[in-house]
Amino acid sequence: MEDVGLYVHIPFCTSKCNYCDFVSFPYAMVKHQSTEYFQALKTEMELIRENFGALAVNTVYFGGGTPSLVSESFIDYVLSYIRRYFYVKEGIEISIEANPETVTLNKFKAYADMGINRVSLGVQTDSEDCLIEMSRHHSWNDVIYAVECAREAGFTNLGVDLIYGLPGQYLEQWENTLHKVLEQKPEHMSLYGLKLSQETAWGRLAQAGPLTFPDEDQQADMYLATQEIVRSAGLEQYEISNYAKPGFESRHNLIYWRGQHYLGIGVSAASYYNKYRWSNYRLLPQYIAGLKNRSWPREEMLTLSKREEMAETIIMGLRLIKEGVSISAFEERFGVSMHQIYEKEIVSLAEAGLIEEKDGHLLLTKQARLLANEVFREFI
Amino acid sequence: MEINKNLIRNFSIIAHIDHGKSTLADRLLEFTGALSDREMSEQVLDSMDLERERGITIKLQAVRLMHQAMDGQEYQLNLIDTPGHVDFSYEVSRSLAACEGALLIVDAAQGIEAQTLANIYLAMEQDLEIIPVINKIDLPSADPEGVKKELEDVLGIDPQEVVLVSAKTGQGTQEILEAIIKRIPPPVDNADRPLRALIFDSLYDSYRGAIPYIRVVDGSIKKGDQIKMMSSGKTFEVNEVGIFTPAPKVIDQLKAGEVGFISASIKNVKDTRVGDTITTAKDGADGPLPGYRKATPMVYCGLFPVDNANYEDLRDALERLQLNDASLIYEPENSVALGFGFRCGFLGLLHMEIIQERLEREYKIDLITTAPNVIYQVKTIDGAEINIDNPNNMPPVGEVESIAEPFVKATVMMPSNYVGAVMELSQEKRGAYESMEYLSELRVMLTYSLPLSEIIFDFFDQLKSKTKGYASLDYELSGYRVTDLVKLDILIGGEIVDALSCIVHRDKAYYQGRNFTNKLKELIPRQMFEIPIQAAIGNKVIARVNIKALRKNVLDKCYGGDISRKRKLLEKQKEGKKRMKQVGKVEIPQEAFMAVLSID
Repeated sequence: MEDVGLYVHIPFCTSKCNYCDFVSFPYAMVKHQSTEYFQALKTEMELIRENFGALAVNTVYFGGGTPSLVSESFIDYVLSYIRRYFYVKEGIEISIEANPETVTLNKFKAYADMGINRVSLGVQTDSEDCLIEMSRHHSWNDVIYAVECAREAGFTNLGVDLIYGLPGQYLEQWENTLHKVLEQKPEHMSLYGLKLSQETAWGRLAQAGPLTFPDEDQQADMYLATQEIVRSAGLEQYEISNYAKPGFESRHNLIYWRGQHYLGIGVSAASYYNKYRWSNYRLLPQYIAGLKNRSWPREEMLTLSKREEMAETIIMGLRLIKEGVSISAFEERFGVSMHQIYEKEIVSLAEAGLIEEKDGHLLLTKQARLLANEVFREFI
Repeated sequence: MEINKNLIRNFSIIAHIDHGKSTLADRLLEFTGALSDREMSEQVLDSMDLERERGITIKLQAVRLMHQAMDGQEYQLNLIDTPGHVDFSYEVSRSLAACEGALLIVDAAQGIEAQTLANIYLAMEQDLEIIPVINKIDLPSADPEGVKKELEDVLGIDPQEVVLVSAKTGQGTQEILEAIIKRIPPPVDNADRPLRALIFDSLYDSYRGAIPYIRVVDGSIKKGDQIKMMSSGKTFEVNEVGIFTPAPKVIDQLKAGEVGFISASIKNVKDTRVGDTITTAKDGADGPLPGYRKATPMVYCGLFPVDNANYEDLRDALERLQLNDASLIYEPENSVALGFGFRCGFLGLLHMEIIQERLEREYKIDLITTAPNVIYQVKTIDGAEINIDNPNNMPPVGEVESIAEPFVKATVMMPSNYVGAVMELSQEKRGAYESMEYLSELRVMLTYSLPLSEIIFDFFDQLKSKTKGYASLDYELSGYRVTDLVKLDILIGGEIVDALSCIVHRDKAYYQGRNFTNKLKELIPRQMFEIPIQAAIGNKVIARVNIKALRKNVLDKCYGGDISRKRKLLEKQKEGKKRMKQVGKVEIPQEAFMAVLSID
């Protein structure tokens, strides 16, 4: 069987950030359930083992929520069971997401000791005002401290997450943020344009009026500036929103974009295995109770048709700026050539200058990066 | 059973919209025992859902009530319901022609309104006995004495004759019934003359065909009779004669003075025109009853299926609606922007809205409706005269000698403090002042001559908003007049969008052009290239805006849990795109076509 990437969802946060629509719960309120939650994670892995056998794992990713909020012993507990129930290859990428105010040198050392080798730091912005506005709990000083600790603990693969398009933000501000963060010399950067969701506090505030956000054009300008600034600092763009020093691309995330298989463990986590996609219960008690009964915590399950798998392969693959979708790999996987299925779309998009073929790969053109949805839609 | 003509009363109820006509009819049905309480659903006579929802009567109905009067005799009362909207005033006049009397209902809180007046004039034309009824006297705001005075001042009605009722509580119902019997004359007994029956409505029944509702004026009609429609000369054999109780009930025959229905295997309601006279095929009457005219549509618009695959369904649906509504006309229309659809003609704006809603609701067809327009009379430089019901058929500017448009005499009634606002609005809508009359110290009647095209655009909505709903409007066609009209074209991405063309007065073209282009800018989503939107008269561009090219449309984040969700999102976007109409390279959402309907 093919190797899988393993995602572990740690759904606890100090509080919900104003822009966030991920599944998370305030830790102070559900802390008493954390032991049960980690036991449930273990049970879920047991069920996977019983049903799928001993799968080989080629990446592990602790995401959230705020995985760094919980005691490192919980993370260690999960990792030890991952090693028991899966075949964990030597030297694979094991990542954890961390918030600057939750980490210490000791915590990073503990992470390194248990085999974690990549840290993704949720920085978001350097503006103290904005951090408060976002309901984040760290300051810029916390960021500098966290980076120092991570380096001292031996982490050589450090990623930083930032958001642009924040309330009141303008182009020069964002450029300064980038320069300031790049001084910290991260190996990896994920840079996201803010998307307001109705379910978030900001989504409602934007509608009601008190907060104003940069518009589509300003976000576009910020995106274009980003590409220049980050490139000149030696990071290459390898995905629509992701930049890395060569060799430091997120191997776990590449699994998603390359259409490879992954299993998600934990509340709300999503899996893709063998043309099935499913996601787990989104409510904590439901997830925990389900696993106490040793029943699958699946909320919904989707069987992808071949056509849907092909569409997903292309739209995810095109996100990879440099590598795109391999035309030969596509044919090998689906037994039919990409051109046969999508001839009309490929021709018209190429004519419009939005995609191109290079060395047997289908790629987005530079100008299409900001308009990728217009391209993706054609393959649906 | 032979009924003494002296024991028959035929009457209508006329009222301004919302003055409680249907509720009163229900009370009469209830009181006379035509329906048991159990059968009583609110407002029985408004049988279409749409009617009940809008609180208006669209299709007429006729019910026979049997009533034991105070004098001990049992009377046959035929209630002929009338539609309460200006679009259907011809139908009202035919219903009234089938009666000897009418109840004139006036709201005790509102007083006389524009349609009260219009209706009462129609009733007077037919020489009907009018029983004035003040309704809703149970309302806290009721002012029956004030309304009585208004009736006296405006219409010369003797306050002694007014019946006070509350249709809601049932108070006064018996008094109304007694008044009907005492004051409305029985029909004249012309049973020995050759048959003449007035068609005042018809209904389409899928088993029995078109069913005309008739008032027998002369002679009688029974099963097996060979009959002839006097306007067309078509003949049919009567299969059934019946009355409504209100449930249809077959009887032996209908005689002079009586009201009921017949069925005669008439395939199409077009053969049962309202206002037509039925006589016998042999030895028929010499001439028809007076007053027949063909219903002529006044308002036209294009109806297009959102999905062009539904074109045939739309045709079938229109065909079926027309079976029941001879005043609806349609013919195929082909639009570059909207594909295949139909150009449809309606009696008025309400009629148009009703048909649209029925198509969408009963036939489940999503529609794009183009802006409504009137019929223009165009004289070309080579002397030809043509009627234009579609702006796109307008000859090129150079070939037009003159364009005439229909005008109406509009009557607006309102509290006197709104006179200024209404005058201003009428002026704005190219109206010419005709007269102003005080109905009382507080209420005023204004008469204006207005282009019909302004009325069907948004006059009524604006009238309502400028008078907080207190003004009422009635109008009648007064003829055609040459005005300075131009065809306003909208160009999107450099191409004329035929479905957005309209005919406007030259003085307003600039203003409207700017409005249209601004509105379209709001509604058309940014696309991957810049889109100019222009308004033009002939080759002359009078307004222009640009929709900037789309800069950013990308899912910034897409990881494990997002993938299928995002795929569905894209699917939805694609679905939405499919519903858009393509003009050149530009995709235009449906709302954009509707938008021109709602510009202020």
